[in-house]
Amino acid sequence: MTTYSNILSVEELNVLHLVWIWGLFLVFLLTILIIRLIVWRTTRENQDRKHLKRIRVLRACFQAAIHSPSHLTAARLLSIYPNDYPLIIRLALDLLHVASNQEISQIIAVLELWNLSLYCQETDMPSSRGRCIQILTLIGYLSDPGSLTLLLKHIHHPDLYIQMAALRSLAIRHANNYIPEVMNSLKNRGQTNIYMLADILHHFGKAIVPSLLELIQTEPKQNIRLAGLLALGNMRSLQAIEPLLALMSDPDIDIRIQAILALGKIGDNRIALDLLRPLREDDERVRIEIAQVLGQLKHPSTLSALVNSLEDTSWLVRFHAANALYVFGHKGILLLKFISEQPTNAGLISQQILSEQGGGS
Amino acid sequence: MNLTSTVIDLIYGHQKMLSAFLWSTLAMGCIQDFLQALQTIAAWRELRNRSPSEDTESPWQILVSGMTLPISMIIPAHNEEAIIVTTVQAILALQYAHLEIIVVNDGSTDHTLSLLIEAFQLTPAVRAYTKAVPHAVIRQLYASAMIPHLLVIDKEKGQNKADACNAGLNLARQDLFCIIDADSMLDLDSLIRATRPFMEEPKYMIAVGGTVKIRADCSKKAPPSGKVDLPTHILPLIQYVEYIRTFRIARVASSRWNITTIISGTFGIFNRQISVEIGGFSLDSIGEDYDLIMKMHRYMYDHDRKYYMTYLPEPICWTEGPWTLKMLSAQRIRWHIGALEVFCKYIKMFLNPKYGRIGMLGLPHHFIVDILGPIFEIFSYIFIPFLWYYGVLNMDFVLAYIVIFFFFGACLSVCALLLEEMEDHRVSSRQNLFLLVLVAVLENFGYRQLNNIWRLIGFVTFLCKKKSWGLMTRKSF
Repeated sequence: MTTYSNILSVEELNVLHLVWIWGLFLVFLLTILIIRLIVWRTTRENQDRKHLKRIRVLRACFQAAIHSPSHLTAARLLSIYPNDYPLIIRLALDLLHVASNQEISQIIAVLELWNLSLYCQETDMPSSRGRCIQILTLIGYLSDPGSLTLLLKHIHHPDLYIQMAALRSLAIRHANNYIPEVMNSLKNRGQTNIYMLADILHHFGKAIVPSLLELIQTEPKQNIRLAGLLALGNMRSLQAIEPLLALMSDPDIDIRIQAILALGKIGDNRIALDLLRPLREDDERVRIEIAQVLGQLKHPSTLSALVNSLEDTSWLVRFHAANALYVFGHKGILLLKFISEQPTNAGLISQQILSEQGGGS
Repeated sequence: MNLTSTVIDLIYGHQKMLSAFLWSTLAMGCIQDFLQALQTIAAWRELRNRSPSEDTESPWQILVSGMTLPISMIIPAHNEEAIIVTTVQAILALQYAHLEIIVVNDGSTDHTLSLLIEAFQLTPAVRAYTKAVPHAVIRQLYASAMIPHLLVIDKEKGQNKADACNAGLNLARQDLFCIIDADSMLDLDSLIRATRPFMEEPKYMIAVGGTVKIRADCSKKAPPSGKVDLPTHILPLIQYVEYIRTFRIARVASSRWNITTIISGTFGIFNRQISVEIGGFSLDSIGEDYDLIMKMHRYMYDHDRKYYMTYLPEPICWTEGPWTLKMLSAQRIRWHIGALEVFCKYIKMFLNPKYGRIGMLGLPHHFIVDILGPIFEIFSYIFIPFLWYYGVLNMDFVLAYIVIFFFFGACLSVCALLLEEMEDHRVSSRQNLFLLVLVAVLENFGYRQLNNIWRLIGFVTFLCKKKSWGLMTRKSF
């Protein structure tokens, strides 16, 4: 066999040397990674096994406490160690998710007897976001001042969901005296989860309505305003009607839409006539929401406006207007039946809705 | 031997060209390795900062608050009689309040439709809709009195899955829709986790992708919960590792850098209005998921509209992986043809600063790693051993080549497993984890090369303009 001389120069060979020496380092790194992975997993498995045994014991203790007919005291409860607290926190939350109100009281009593609040105050918050959220959620069920301080400390946390957990816990504790602090914490918030925040604000109850009314009018950040609008709608606060109507001419279209939705949820059909003007807006999203809301409000004077909307240029607006007429009841269905005979867009959409709903029978 | 000598003489006579080719090959490998290393670092930082899967409380709070965003779940199904009822039942069991389920029976010739009718007591229904995006004729709609939020569309067979997706899109009534394959199952809290970005940015978020993993036991009627077993067949097992590497590293990194160019059609949630505005899924594309995302990018940039897309590692969708070489090769060839089609279709975005990071980083990355890289590798598989055998190349070159194209990949796969274990830790035992490590190393010695061969076949097929779906036989009962 003929052999050929190597075509690579000395410099090129030196470069290649470096590459495959680096490769030896890679093999070494790979071995370290594999060992690390296996060791990590082994440690974790051993830890999980120990934890499982302890969790069973703690769970039994909780169950006994929940079903105990007599008053609980610290002496009657299992002694716990500092390492037990992370397990207790996880276990308690799992139980609270499915517990009845009475059971919740018993679980909280156990946690108080085990000085959970003291542990949370004296220990540094874990770096893991998930565990931090668990702790903040759980101490929302407690009533001592120490845990309240801990919550207030975290309502300005840079992590959105840790802040949400702290706010939710304050709401669960009905900490209405701290509503100004809550509203302040939102001012510095860039990003938020609008729906979660709205739910949390809702949990504060009627006490937060004046603050929300101010927030929706003055807060510069759109997401926070939207959360406030959503919360007001969910609370069905009649106080909010006038401010919400004023927002119908807000320059931000998303604010206008959310204000419309909130008015629809509040459900006071006296404002239905005020909602007719936006039916002529250029943006179809506004017209869609108005059509839906008019259907919810069912004010007789809005029937003709809805009928006009059946000729809207947007199919979605026509669809929601036809649906709104259908949910009006007998009058709306009769109108749809009449219009369905016309060879127009209005007639077509009326036919479709009547067919879908079964002809109104 | 004479022929061989002639070939060698020919090659040896063009040393400069040969040298250029060889060094280009190594350079291409180094570039790919470098990009993958950067992705690994980015993915590690992203997962360590967010630790998303550890937060079990926030999804629970969203669920009990009832503030879940309404979603239309679209399930395209073509000849899925083995699994469709199980899939729909699993979706009905999801922890999610406002869910509309739309199954699109895409011209099935088996008993897909009749099984659905029987299982859910479907009756013919009428539903108002407008044909905003194109698809084949709808023969009949079916609804269930006992499950009001279930709708089944029976339609003529379209060209491809995109047609079925469009039909679902037209009938969907919620602001968000989710496409999920008929052979897939979501974790119970996947939808809640996957919709969080839309709750944070309802105005601008237009697409969110989740993680796809290979299921071990396709006969089970529910997604795996807690610790999971590994597939027992070798091919799904290798794909298990491959998917972990793709989703834990490549997708996380792309999302962190805002260069998401693909959200898997197996599990993705999209803004319905934007999808309709761009004309829905492209009927002429095999890679309809990739095409949709690129179309969205182009549309939003062309209309100068602010938007976000993201990938989340914690919502998981379990899917069935091909278990024979024939099925796997058909799938991979199809994927590559789809990828090439999309790349060519959106070539104007390539290295075009008008399209921001997508044009300047996302598409070039795809070009290097998925198009150019495999071609260099394939030729290197043939030339380098050949040249080494005849002494044209010495062992230093071969060792360097093995380091760049084999060892580095093995390191990367093990890093992906490390990230997976740190983040999800659902592998059921230490022994299974060790098995995965072994597979992660060994897949670089055989499977990777096979994949590149399939890519080359896909490339040639694309050039010859032949498109085929291939056959995926369902394993489940």
